[in-house]
Amino acid sequence: MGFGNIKIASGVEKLNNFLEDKSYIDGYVPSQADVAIFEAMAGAPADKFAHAFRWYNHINSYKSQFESLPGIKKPIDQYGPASASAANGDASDDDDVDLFGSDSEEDEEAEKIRAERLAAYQERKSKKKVIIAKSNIILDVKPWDDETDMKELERLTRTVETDGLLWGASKLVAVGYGIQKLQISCVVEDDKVSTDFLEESITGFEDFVQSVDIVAFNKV
Amino acid sequence: MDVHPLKDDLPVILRFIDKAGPINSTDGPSTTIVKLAEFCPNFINLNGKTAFNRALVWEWLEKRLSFENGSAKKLCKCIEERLQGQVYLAGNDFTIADVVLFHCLKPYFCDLTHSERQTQFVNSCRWFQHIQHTSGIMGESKKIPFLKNNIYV
Repeated sequence: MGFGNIKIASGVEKLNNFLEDKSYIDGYVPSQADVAIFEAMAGAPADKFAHAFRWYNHINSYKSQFESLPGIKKPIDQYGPASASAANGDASDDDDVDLFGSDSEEDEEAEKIRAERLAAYQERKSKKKVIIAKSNIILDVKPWDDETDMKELERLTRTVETDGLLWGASKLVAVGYGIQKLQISCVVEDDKVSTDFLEESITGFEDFVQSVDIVAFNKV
Repeated sequence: MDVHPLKDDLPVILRFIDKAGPINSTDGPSTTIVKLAEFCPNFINLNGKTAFNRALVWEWLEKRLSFENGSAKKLCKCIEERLQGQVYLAGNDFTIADVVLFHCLKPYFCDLTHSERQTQFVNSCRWFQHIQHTSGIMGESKKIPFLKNNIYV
């Protein structure tokens, strides 16, 4: 973790690579992180480490404000790329990433932070109210003929009960030749009640119901 | 890609400086920017802390104008050289020169290929990535991601 020993060339080189695409060690403003590394260095880096040199001069210009820079000073090991120290031998190309193995070189702290964040996320997820999917269905219940008792028909329809089913308003619509059909609406929970169930149970009242149709099916 | 006229960027820059006040129409765009940046509530010393920095800011504004019909690539190369040894364009602090050139070159940066970003314009990309994160500068648009690709290392 970190840049290794930044008093020697190999450490400075790592610092140089790190700073190639970053202006500061940590984030986008000068902070105590920069101060920490600055003070740990043994003087300005050589010219060949152009990025480190640039960074060094830049931070140097903030010398008078070192105390007031944001952030907390941490031991320098905790800054910089998360790859291992020189002891583990930086695989010179980090291309050979073991996709299925665990990274034994993980920093403990990074692990802890990740575990914390995961726990917080799970908590938030479980607290979130589960939204139940509901739909509004309008059914057309057709009787055999114009002499069928529509009130009875409606009553029987409403006796169909199951978990997740709520009957709503109904009305009688004239179809022709004196025949009326019952248009009734209900709210169902998608997971619990299916339209097949509704149709079957209503057509179960064979004496009264000729057929059932779905007029409208809207998501609520 | 050609560099577009400075007055096209003016509204965005002025919004950044937080000035919606009256603009004297006889002043050129550079003068307007510098004049209003003097009083920006969010940033101090946008025009440069020292006399030297201020001169640098003016130089950059001039350069930007002189490139108005030229290629963005050349302007970018100019920046690249300057940023080799510096973090900001005009000295060690954030100035209005950074803002102006940022907006000028934003379309150019969006179109750069990864290879160009990492080989030719290393410093400019670093600077661009850095400025992107300054509050208020991007306005409504999304940040452009800059990723280090190991192929070019």
